Amino acid sequence: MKAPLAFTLNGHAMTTDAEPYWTLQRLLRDELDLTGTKEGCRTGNCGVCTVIIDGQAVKSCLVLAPQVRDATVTTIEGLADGDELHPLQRAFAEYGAIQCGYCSPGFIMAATAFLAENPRPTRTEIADALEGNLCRCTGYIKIFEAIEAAAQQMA
Amino acid sequence: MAATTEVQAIGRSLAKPDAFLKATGSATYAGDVRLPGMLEARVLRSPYPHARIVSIDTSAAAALPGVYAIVTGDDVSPTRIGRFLRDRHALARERVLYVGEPVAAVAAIDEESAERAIQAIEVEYEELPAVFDAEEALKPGAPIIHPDLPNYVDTAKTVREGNLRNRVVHNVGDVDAAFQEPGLLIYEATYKTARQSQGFTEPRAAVAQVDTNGKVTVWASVKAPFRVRVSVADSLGIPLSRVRLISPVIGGDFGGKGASFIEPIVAVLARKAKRPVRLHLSRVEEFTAMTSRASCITKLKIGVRHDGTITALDGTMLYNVGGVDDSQAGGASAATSLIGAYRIPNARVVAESAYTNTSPAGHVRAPSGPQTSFATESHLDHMARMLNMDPIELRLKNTLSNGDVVPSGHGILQNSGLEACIDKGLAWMKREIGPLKPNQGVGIALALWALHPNAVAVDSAATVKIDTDGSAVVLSGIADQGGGQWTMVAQVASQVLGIPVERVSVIAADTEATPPEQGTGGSQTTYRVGNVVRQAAEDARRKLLRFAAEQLKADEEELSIADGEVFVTADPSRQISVARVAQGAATAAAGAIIGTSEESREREIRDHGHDQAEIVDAPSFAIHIAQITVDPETGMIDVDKYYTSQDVGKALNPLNCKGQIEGGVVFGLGYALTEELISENGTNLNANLWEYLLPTAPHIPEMTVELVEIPSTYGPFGAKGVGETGCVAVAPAIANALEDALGIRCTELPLTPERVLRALREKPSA
Repeated sequence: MKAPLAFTLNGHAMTTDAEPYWTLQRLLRDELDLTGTKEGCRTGNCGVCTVIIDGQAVKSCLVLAPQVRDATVTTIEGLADGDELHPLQRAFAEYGAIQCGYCSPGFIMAATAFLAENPRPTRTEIADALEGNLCRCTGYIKIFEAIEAAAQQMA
Repeated sequence: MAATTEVQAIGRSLAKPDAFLKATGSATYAGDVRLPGMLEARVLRSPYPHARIVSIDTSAAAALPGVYAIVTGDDVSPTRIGRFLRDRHALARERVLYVGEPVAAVAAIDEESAERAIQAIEVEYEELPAVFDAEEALKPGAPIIHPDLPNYVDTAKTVREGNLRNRVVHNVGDVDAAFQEPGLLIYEATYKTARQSQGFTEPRAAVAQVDTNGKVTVWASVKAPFRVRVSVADSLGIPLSRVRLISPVIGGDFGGKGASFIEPIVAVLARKAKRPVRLHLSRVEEFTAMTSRASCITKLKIGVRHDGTITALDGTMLYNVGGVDDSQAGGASAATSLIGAYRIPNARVVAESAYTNTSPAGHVRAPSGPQTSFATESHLDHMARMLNMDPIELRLKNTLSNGDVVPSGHGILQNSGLEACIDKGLAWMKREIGPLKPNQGVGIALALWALHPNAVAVDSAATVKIDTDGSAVVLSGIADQGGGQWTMVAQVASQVLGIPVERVSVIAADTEATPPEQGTGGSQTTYRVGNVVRQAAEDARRKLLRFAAEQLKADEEELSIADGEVFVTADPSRQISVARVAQGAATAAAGAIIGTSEESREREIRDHGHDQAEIVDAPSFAIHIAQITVDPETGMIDVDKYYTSQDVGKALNPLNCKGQIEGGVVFGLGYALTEELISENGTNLNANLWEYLLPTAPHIPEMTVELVEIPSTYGPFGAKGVGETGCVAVAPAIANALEDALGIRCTELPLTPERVLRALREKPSA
């Protein structure tokens, strides 16, 4: 049975109805049409559905929709500041960190939460922090370079 | 060739325009397409590796709430489909040949309703004897998987009998006599490689809509929409022109998304449901029922003189292509790639592929390349050790040079960058490899790929329109699966037209809106599509200059274009913008400036197509060097440093070239170290991302990629193919480093800790 669900989504207060068994991924993609959050495995292994809940990077396929009640959720669609791309978004595009791009929203969200905790990371720290996000195209190196460049810019 | 303009689009590390869409989550992939009234689909798949379908009862499922359509094999045309060999139906008819073969599908109001309906379908099966091993499958008495195989339609002439999908025999010189030479060092070994999944992050997805006139539109994660359109039309039993296939943004391909498995199913569901239908495969379905790189057993024997001259090679390969085969000529046509980058006067290779009751084989980045490279590059390295010879020296004595006929017989090698790659690699080793610690080792391997650019007689065309604001639109049938193909198209058009690349847009991969195109793949896209885009842009440029010449009262030959302005080269103050020229043309008799590739393509192929067919114009060579550390207690291999230099002809976009190569190397590292799709009695056991181990960020070595640029003669601006070569020779480089480190030779991939420890245990004590 659907129940009302109130939370903050990309800076806007939002009330919607959600089935108790829906994942946050399902709510975002299929009910709210926020398709920037991707679907790759539904088992928490690929990371393409990563969003930020109350400052933490979380795989939205592992969270039930009712769990975000009263929480603040940011998806890739809510990361840019108006027309101004987030430094990580710009760096990913400019440093060649995006090939097919299917993993990119998840990586960018995971990196956003990570840089908030560790603004000047070493490459090893970046690699360890991103172990839960798979990229099959780039070989990760340009992703590391993009995050390093964005971190420098944001510092 | 177009006059060089001041706009340098070519050779620039331009960020891909679509990357900004992808970075903001606004790029539309097939699974993101949303249509009013769209239903969700689910597929019922065979639990048996080989069985007869006795009956299917869908009545209980159809009675469930929210169910709009249920389809089975009876709803698809009896015409078989397939990418190369037509050996399957979109939904099984009469028999199932592998676990995961689609048997029925449901479209319902939401995924839960579809899932419930799937579970309510009752299928009665009669199990049949099954065979899983390729050698067993070819023995007399094995269960025959495709009784009608000889009558199937294939795109190439292939040898098909029993469970044999294809056999290719390559034989030059006198191999048996050559092995009789006294004093010849002869070494024989058997190499086994595992099945590798493409592992793209986006599972296949498709959305289909059928309008009331019966016109079918499918948005699908496919890189060859014109080819997949055929499978949809044939499954529905309707003319090709009644199907429009659109490839939106694709979430990775690596060979897999040239296949058509789900698109006919959604189309037939949409037709029956009279509503749009979406199917997004689960990761389990991807691993269970979709294609993977065929496993291969290679038996190799090579004879080398003590001075390092290779005189003879004798090899057999046996690929296991599963219950249905989505690979070109069963993979066996790549027999000659076992000969590698070498000049071997006496060589015999017998390559076979066999059907079994396992999940389908198909194309995975550089089909057959990694299997053959692992065998040959491991073998030669070991023989160099037997000869006490430097492994590079042994290779250098035998590598192909310009003027040699390549092993495939495709033509005479030209524009080889192999020596330049080796030189750079040796220089890097000198700089970067210091004295090794215990349990460290260094391995090298050479790679070649894309020897046959297939550039001459394959579907490809382009159209370029100049808009009245001075921008350009390129229409091309090519899909971009992440490799940057659309960026390449924009860069080539920009360079030729003198219009800034930001003002070039690309409309692509739509079977009705764009010119026909064979599809992305084979590392051929830049070479082939880059050329037709250049030709169409040159045509548009000629027309543009003709109008501009009238306006500027000058001869066309006197004009240049740069940064969107046409000007008299000798007097740049006499200029007119491309926009003004286009506006003038739009209201003149011509109507608009539209360039097409056909005239130039025809002329160029007439002028040098014959030459292009006789030479190997764009060979892609690379050297791979790995330094590893092995833990002899655990068998774990850590890759410390990795180096590759690859000849790309001309780097149209150096950033993207390096990205392709880095990604290729890591793809190869997965093949070398962890990736293995394991099956038991036809069921894939690790059909998930926590047991099928793709490379992750913490395991990436320090990597150096250098680009070598020995231009091709006929590629656009000298470009060669790039995308596949990077993954071909990674596994042998690692295996060779392992022998260097511990003195053990592992001949089975992946090089898991278990295999390394076993080899250590079996190592003869010195």
